[in-house]
Amino acid sequence: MLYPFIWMIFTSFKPKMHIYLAGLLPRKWDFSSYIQIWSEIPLVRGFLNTILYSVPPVVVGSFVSALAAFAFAKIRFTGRNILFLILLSGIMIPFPSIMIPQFVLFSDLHMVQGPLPLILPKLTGNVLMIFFLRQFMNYVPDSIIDAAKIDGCNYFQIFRRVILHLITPALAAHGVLWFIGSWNDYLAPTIFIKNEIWQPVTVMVAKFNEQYAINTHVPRIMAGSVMLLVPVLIIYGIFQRWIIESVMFSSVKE
Amino acid sequence: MKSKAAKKMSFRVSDNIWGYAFVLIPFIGLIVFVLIPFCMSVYASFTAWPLGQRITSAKWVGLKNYISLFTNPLFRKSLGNTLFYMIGIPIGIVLSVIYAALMNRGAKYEKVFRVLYYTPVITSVVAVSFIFQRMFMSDGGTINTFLMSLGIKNPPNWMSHPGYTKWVIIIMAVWKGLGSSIIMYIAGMQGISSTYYEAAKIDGAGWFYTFRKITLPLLMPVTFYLLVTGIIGGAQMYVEPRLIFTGNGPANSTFTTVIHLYDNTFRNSKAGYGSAVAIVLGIIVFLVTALQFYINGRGDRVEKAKENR
Repeated sequence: MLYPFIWMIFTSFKPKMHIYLAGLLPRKWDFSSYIQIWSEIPLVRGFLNTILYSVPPVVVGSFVSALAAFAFAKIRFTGRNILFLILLSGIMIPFPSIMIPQFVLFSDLHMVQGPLPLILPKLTGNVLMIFFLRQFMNYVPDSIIDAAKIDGCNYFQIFRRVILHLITPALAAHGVLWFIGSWNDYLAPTIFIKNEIWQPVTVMVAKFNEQYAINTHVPRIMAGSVMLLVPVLIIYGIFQRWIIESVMFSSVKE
Repeated sequence: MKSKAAKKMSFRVSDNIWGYAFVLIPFIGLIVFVLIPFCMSVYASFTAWPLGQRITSAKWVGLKNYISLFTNPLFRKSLGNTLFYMIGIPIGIVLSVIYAALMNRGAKYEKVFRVLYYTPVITSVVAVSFIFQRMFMSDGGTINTFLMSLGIKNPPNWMSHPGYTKWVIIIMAVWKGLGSSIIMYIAGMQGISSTYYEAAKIDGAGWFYTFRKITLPLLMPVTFYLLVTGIIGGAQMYVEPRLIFTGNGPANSTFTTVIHLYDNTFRNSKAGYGSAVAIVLGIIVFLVTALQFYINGRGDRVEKAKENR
């Protein structure tokens, strides 16, 4: 299961011609591929871009989603069910079906030279997350909310003081999945981001790797993949228990 | 009495205000980023629209894009490739049920296995695509080196023979998705009440019989969910074939409908034609999703009927 990763790491330390030799371990440790990638592409900037695209928007978007899910689950407002169905229709439209007009929209607004196309849509929440959080909140008894109402709380106070605590595990579980998805995103940035300095690290490394695929410089390509994977693997290594539990938790509720 | 009614009234009004306020932002998102673009896609699919020009100045051509789409052998090939990749879905489902069943029987280090199998799920598809591209290359690739060491004289030319190229992507997709399905199945298995198993034990049922008659049917919702999300995701396959193979792949064997859409729109600037592809793709995904909601809803109604009985 992990063999491809192990192969990647050892290959990245081989000199170019040694990849045809048998054996997993390098016969001579060669760090030139790493020197090459660090000097050739602005990796630090790429990582900062990726963090910018996947942390603040997902945090804000998760909060917005939770608020909407709370309204759909617990506030009896007129037209609640029909509005919810309309919102759900958004899930049924796949990204490739709308990416051309989205690109036109962003480029008409002069946003494709900057980071906004990968930030703005996430800020308005995630319909799938609203769907699951609403289901989860149906398990929260109404009596808790009524009690808070009698204490004089308005709905925002109820959300902040009562609901947010109760839904933290579900919110975290779906937030993590969303975060991983946007961390690894590739198609949207290749379309929406026309300024190289704003590319996320996935696109930068892909470009680097494609360039060396032509003359099959395998160690360089693997060094690129290592740079892309190591931060994620470290984060995963630290939080693995919590991530797996969250995923198990979210799949039970589905 | 009167004041109570008035109070109820004011609660109703404030309920509305709070409710609309809380759902406002997602609705703005839906309208601006999904519904308006979708309507534009539908409109654009009936026009000859060179990307870069205003859509309002694009010429109306009726069904021409759709006709040229379905008569275009490249489009049909891309749709065929996209469907072919979905062979990976049942393979992944069968493998993950087996693994989940083994792991759920209290295998030693079960939690460690979960973490290991889930690792490919969280890693970047970009990085992984390049790893598989190089592991499957004909000379020096670790897969063929291994096959030759098993005594296979002429291992397949994975990267250049059109009969094998798709399997590189299928193998990678199954490998990458396995951990996620395993976790879902384990979660599903742990949700099955132990009374079923105790009853089966009393009746003298063997492990495999119990698995086939109790576990598998009760896991149907998970299987169905994986099947539907697999089809929806598979229909949108883009990154893997784009990065592992160059262009459309050897003899057009690897490119997908989304690659066809992307290249026509963003490289050849035929946004009208690209929009028609986008709409056809959207209809396919819509039908699969609607089917899921329909069957899910039916399941809920059946359960409600049972509760009411």
